Amino acid sequence: MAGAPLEAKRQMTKIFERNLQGKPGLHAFIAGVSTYEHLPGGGPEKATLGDLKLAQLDGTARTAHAIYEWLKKADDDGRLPLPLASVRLLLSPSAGEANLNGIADACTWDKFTKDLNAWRKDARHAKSITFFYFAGHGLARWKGDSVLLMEDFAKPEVPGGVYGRAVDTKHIVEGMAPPVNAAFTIARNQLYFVDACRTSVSTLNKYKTKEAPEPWFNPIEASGVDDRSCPILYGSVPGDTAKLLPGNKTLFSEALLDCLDRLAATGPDKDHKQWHVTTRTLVDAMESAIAAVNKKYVHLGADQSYMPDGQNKTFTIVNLTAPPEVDVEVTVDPEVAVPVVGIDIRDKQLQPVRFIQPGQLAYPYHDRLKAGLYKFSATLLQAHDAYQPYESLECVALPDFPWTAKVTV
Amino acid sequence: MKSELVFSFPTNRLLNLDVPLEIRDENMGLVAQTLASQSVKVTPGTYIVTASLPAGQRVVRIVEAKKKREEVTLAVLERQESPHEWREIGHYFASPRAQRAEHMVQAAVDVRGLESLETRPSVTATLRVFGGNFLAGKKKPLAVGFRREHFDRDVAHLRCKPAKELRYVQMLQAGRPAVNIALPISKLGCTIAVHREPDRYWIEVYPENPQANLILGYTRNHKLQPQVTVAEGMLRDKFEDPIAAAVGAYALLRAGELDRLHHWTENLARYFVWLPDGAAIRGEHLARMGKHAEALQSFLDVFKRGLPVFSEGIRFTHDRLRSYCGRDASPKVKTALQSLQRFIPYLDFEKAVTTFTGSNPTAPDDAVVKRLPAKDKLDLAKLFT
Repeated sequence: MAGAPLEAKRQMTKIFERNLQGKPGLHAFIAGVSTYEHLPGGGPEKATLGDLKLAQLDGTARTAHAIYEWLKKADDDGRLPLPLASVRLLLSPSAGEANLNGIADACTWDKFTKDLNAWRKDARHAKSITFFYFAGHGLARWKGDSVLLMEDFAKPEVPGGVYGRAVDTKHIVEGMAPPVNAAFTIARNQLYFVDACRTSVSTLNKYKTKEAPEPWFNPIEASGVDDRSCPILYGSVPGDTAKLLPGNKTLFSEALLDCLDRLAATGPDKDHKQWHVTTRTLVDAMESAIAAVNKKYVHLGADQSYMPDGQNKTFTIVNLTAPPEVDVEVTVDPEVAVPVVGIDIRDKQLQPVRFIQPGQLAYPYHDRLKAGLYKFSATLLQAHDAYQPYESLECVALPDFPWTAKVTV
Repeated sequence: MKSELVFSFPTNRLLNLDVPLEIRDENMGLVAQTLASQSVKVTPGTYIVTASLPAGQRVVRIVEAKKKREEVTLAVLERQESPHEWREIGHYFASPRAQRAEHMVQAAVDVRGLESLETRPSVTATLRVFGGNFLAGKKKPLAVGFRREHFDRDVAHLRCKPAKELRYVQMLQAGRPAVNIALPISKLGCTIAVHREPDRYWIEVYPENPQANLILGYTRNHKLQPQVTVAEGMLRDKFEDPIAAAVGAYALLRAGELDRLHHWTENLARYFVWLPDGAAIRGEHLARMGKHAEALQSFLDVFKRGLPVFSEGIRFTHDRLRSYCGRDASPKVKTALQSLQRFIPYLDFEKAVTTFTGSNPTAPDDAVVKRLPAKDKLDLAKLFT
């Protein structure tokens, strides 16, 4: 890996930096806000915008930190397509996230905008990749809008009006467009993850057309040729909320990380010797991942949504070190035959992989296999006039694989 | 000797559709990406052919390529098949909402049987049709003129004829806001699927052009499929079907494939002045090329034509005008933006085809309908008898 990481004099916000000597790298900007100073339950200086009914959060700072940890690990494992060049991390932890105190600067508007501008400056190599993740409260002034609320949102008497301490997602994305002046370039591969709600708050309806202040220090000129790939993945559809497991992390992040580690993987090709995740496979796989997360937490009323946006010219986000594991469900038809049927799973060289005896697992049988070709066989453990063995060659592929042993004569 | 793999779908609706396919070897390495209408030559061996349809149905076929020509039938998994041939358009291309509705109905039938399934809504609902430039405050009632083609207990399909003008279908049902949906018609018509549930009706529209329907289906389901060559062809063939051309152009913009737009977006905007999407697409193309002054003029043309047929066109127009308003606060730009902003709170951006609420399509709102119109309407209950 080119360049050694800078140690020690850790700047609070630029939590990681590697000197790549002018070569392209991955520049990350991650922010997680759980504590809101001026919302109910926050500090003594309350917002003067009426009853906002926005609660303090417990989990969004943890989520942001988890995303940072994932990036670091992926970099350590050599899975990223480019070396991790820098990570800026802003965290406003809740009382329940006290273990995150002191790791990074708080995500105030001033800190956020300062780092945003520095991040853009760092990401000036055209072949670099940028990675943006925000977890916290979000609002929509109209359907389709997305405004990110910083820790000091609704601070009384600040310049910029009601959204003076908020950032318009569109401003961020627009500001990262290639500038007109060809002397200044910017990373052409950009990722945006907006893990925040897109609902409106009735108290703020009268401010529907108010603008949030530009987060960029220098006025943004109209862009040059915008040939970026800049997919935006929203953790909520317009008008919906993003969901958080109290004391845990957001459902969107759980789905996203499963995709990046497994569910969105695609096999080797002429440019990749390994399984890998691209921006296209990620967008396509997120629906399945979100559905799986909702199913997992259905008892908690989980109803997470997701929506992609932006322009998406495919590029690689992360490589895998092995073929991904696929959820497999095995059933027997007819079900009454289950007690007399064993399931034999072998790889394409017919080497044994698994044998499921009746009663060994809860029925229907669930397991995980690495993606690939397998021979599935249903064998009769005792002779039966009504049943016969059944087998087939199958491709176990993402997102999941169901197989039914049809043993009726 | 190479083996030629030739693909086909077993169902009429999918036949000849350019569904993207991946061909992988037995180690899951990618051998080729192609479209279902094109054959692929491979060395003899074992291959896995996969495809994903817009509504999520999967095709996975293991093929032993031994002969000079191997016919590969791309059947979806048995449990994912459409219940009827005529329902394929909804089944394989439907939005997540339509899929959920279908699953709920099927689950109810599985549990309680057909006879016990009561889907007769307790409300009445009607359809009306409007033309006109809603952005300019102009609406023109039109004759409904749909023909029922198929129906069963919970879905009826209506055929909407071609027309070279903007048209919106409006559904009114008591107790709910009126819903206006753009009709993606030009030289070809479209299908309107009317769904009925115990307490409501709702509708979804599908363009008649099968390739446009395919790409729109992927868009509805938040999927990006590698169909850039197909999308490019649709834009090139704009004189055959400008609506399909618009669908193709939006797909290319989504994929960041600016080179494949060529100068064709200029022609789409110039030669189809009734189609607002042409102006919106041209505007977005110019903006992506850094030609912002020209882009602004193109976006302002949208307002001379009307509300774009596809919601992506509205989003492009709105977002760019907001951005340009910040730099150029001319009254003309502000007025245009304000006329569009009236619609924004009532638009459903999850829908690929422009959908918004309001009994008066020039003055959108979310007021519930209290009384249904007496004339110029189509009573939806009659569709299911």
